[in-house]
Amino acid sequence: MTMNSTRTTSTRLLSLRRTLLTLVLVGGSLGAPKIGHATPLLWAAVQAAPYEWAGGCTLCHTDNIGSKGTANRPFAKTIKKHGISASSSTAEMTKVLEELGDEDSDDDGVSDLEELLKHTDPNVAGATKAVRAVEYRYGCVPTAIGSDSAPNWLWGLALLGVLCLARHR
Amino acid sequence: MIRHGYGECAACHTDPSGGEGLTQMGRVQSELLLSQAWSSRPELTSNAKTLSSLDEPDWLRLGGSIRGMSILDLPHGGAPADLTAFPMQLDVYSSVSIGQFRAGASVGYADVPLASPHLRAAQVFQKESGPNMISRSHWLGWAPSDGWLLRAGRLNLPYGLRISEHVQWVRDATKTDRESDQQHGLALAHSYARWRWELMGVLGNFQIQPDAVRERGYAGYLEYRVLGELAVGLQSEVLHSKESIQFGRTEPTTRQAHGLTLRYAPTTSVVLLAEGSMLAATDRNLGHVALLTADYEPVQGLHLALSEEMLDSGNPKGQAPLVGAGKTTTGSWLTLHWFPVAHWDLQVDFVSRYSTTPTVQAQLHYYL
Repeated sequence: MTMNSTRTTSTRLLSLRRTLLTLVLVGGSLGAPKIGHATPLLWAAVQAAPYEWAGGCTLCHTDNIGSKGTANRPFAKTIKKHGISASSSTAEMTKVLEELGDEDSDDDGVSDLEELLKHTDPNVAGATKAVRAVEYRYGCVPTAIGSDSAPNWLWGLALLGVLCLARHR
Repeated sequence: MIRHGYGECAACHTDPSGGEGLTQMGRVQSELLLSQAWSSRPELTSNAKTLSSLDEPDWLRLGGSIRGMSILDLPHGGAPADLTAFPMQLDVYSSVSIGQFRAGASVGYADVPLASPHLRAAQVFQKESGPNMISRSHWLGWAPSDGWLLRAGRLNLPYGLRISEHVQWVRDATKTDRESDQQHGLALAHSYARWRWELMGVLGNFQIQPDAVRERGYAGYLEYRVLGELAVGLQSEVLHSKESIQFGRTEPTTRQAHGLTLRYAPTTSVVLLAEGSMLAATDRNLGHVALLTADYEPVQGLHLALSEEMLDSGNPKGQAPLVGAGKTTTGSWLTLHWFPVAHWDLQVDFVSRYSTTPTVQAQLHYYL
C-alpha cells in the first residue's frame, strides 16, 4: 500500500467519524426536549384526581422497577383488554378508567374503580388496607440550586466542548 | 474481550470491574481488537491519546459517552406502531492516578421523564423530572500495590456480567445496572493471575432521600479463569432497607440475589455469556433471573447475538403467582452490533418479551 492511499483511507475514516458525530449531536439535540418513555403517561392518569393512586408501578407491574414484560398483574390485563398498551397516552388511560364500569380484576366483588377510589389494591382479593406510598425523592442538591436553566447550560457547554475537540482533530 | 484471552478488566477500564472510562490501553484495544479491521487501516495508531490527538498528563484520563437511541414499538394487539427517539447518554468521565492515590468521577446531563424507572437514582438536583445533572459514579481510591484497589464513593455494584443493556432482567431484577443503580459505599477489588474479585460494603445511595429507603449490606463477586477463554464466577448481594422502593413496601425489607456467571469463547468468533441468580426478598417467595447470550463475530467489529432471558421475581406471599412473579416469563433479544471505526458503535436490537409489544431499538454510541 502506498503512503497516499493510506492517507486517503485515513481521511475517509476521519470523515466517517465526523459524519457519525454530527448525526449523534444533531439527533441528540432534536430529541433532547422529550424522552419517549410511555408507561409513566399511564401512571399520570391514575395519579390524577379523583383516583390519586399513591402506590407506584405495582398497580400493573410485578415490581416497582416497572420494566417491559412485567405488566402482568390482573389490573394490567384488564386495561390491556380495554385497548391500553405501553404507547397509550394519559388521555386514553383516563378514558379507559372512566369506562371501567363493573370490571373486577381480582374477582372479590369490589369493582376496580371502587378499589382505586378507596386506594385498596384492585389486584388482591379482599384487600381492605389502603395502599400507602413509599415516600422518597431523588437528588442530593436542593432544587433551588438546580434550577431548570442550569443543566441546559451544561448541555450546551458539553456540545460546544465536543465540537471544539472534534474540530481540533 | 474474553475471546481475545483478556480475562481481567482493569487493564482497559479505569473501573477495576469494567465499564465507563478507558485506559490508554483500552483506547488502543478498542481500535485494534474491537473495531472493524479495514484492510487499509494504518498499522500505527495514535488512539491512546484523547480523541487520538490530545496528550493528557500521565496522571489524568478523560473520557465520555454520547448515546442516541430510538425505539420502535411494533404494532401489537391492535395498538399502532410508535416511534420515539431521545439522547440516552451524555456523560463525561475523568480519572486521576497520582502515586497510590486514585480518583474517578462521571458527570452527565439528562432530561429526566416523570416517574421514569431509570436515571432518577443518579440525578444530582432534587427534582421530580426535567433537565438535570447526572453523576453515576464518583470515588476516591487507594492502590497499595498492583492488582489491589480500595475505593470509597458511588460505585457500580460488583455483581454479575457488566453488560451495558441496563434493561435486561439480570441487571434490572438485581438492581445492579451501570445506568443509575450505583450506590455509595466502600469496595475492595483485587485481581491476580486467574482470579479477580470485588467486595463492596453498601451504605446506600445518597442521591435518594430519605435515609429510610437507602439500602445497606454488601455486594460482591469472585471470578476464576479456568482457561484463557473460559471464566466462571460467583456473585452475591444482600441489601436491607427500612422501606423498599423496588417492592413498594413501607415495611423493613431485605432483598438478596446469589448466582453464577460464565464467560466462554469456544472459538475466537463465538462467545457465550451466561448468568443466573436466585432472588429472595422479605415476604416474597423465591424467584430467579437468568440470561444466556451467544455472540458470533463473523468479521472483526461486527457482532450478531441472540440472548434469551427469563425472570420470576417471586410472588408476594399469600398472593397468587403471576407471570413474572411466581411463574417464569421469558424474553428474546436479536442483536446486530457494529463497531465501524474506533470509538463508534451502532447497535440494533429486536426485543420480544412475553405479553409486551415487540420493539426494535437502535443506538448510536460515541465513546472516548
